Amino acid sequence: MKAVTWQGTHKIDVRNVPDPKILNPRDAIVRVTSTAICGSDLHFYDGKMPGFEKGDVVGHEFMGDVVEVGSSVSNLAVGDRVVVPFPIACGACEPCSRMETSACDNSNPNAALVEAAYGYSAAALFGYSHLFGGYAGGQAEYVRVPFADFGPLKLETDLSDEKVLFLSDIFPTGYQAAEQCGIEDGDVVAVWGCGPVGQFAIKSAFLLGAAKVIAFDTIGYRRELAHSYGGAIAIDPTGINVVEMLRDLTGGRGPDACIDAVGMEAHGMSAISAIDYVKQNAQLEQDRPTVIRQAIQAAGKGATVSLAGVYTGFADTMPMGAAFGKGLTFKMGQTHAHRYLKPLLKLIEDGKIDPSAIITHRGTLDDAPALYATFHDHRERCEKVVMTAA
Amino acid sequence: MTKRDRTIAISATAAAAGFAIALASRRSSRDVTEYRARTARTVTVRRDATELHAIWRERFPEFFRGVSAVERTGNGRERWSIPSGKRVRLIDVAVVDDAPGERVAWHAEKLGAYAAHGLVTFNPIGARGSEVRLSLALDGPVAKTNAAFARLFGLSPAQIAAESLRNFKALAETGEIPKAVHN
Repeated sequence: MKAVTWQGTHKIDVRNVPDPKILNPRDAIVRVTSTAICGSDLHFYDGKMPGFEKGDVVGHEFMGDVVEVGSSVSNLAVGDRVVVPFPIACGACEPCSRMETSACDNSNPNAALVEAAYGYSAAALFGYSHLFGGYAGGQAEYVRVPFADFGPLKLETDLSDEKVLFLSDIFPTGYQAAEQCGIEDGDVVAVWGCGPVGQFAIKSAFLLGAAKVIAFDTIGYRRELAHSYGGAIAIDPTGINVVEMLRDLTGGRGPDACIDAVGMEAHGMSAISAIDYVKQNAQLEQDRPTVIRQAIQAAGKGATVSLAGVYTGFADTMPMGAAFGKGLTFKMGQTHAHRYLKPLLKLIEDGKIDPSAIITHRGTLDDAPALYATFHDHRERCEKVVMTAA
Repeated sequence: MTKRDRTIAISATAAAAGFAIALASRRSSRDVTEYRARTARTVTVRRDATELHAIWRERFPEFFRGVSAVERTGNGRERWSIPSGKRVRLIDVAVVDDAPGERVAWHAEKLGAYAAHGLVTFNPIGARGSEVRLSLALDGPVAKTNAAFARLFGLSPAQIAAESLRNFKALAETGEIPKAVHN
């Protein structure tokens, strides 16, 4: 089959690889119809995500049709149309019993590698390094889906792929980022980053009752979308004091919630950000925590700082005094995507949100190398890429 | 005799941080004639202790690293198949304690040149399931026993314990052991 593979930093190639097979009774094979490039795919594209090997099939945002099921899968049948959440979760362990599926105990066969760095391993992920399981990803014609009797959302709707594809990751990820802030009616929410996850964090904050959302991005067309699609006040953080700006825009209170939808590759303008940049490139520091620092400084008393952007390593010079002094709450982590599938599908069906509005680029698997580059370089006002596979 | 610790370093290829975990195996300070390399690991499994004991006894080769088959030869004795390169070594094991819902203990007189002991206990902790603790020990000079163990199984005793328990938990909770291949 045809598959998008990682071949090295800034090297993405479409190759012919063997078709996936059922390996365990709870597996299914899905013929991919649509798949997207995620902002977190740019971490391995940039060579900043460890644990990739040449030839690894990438991609974790995908949907398609079931073409084969293992002997223990009774809830799905050949021909069913499914969206597959990006964490691989067993549904049986203690974290899964709480629907904290991105913390699944059982899905990562390479958990020992993560335990060495993190103490405990979270769930495996599709197409996202051998550290997180070594499972082939969904930017391919076919994909093996483990624990298919628990994970995939069976679609019984006429909605197009483009309307429901983002249930696999970025819509739940933006939604969780907002939900875990405990937003109450009238709250003011600040969002750093107007990429796809930021756009859904903005929309979700409003759906959860926010009165005002203030969003930051250095890229003009992303700010325009945050305003036109999300209804946010969108500001370029370049050359301004973000903390003072947020104080002004919140009546001196500071935001009730601060959402980091950027993560470890933030572009900061301060001297300390320049040091982070040097350290990251010298591999002395894995994460550039510009956004977290600003969020902690800017947050109002008792606010929640919610991290949706990915961090993988260490971050230096965190303003812990400010966090402690204001009694902040930190919420973070991979998205428990499974728990949001049905409620967010309902929001789409009810017309409360149209996730497809953020799509700017469309292609096929063959276009993947060019589309990765376009997305990475922010060319052609690229916000979100969707590829058809069949 | 002074206590001396030996450290088995499992080189972890987590390139993110280049960490290494170290597990200490300690000489017995009470026994001056016998050295014993020990390792122990615990996991919590969301199953009843009696069910877990049954899975341990019935499906051992599926989850225990390095053992491909178990033949029961009578009188509490078993013969384990341990693939090693192109050969399969057969090792005689005595099950010295087998208490449903509580524990299994075994003893191999000759594992290579040394004697090996294993003990697994199942400790019910209510709604969260059971704590399963696996201890492995080898009699003999620590450095030599660990090296012999690594030659036989390709893994250190600490890795055998950790990976076997990981497999056991997955099998007991999900009915299968996760496998990933490139595609």
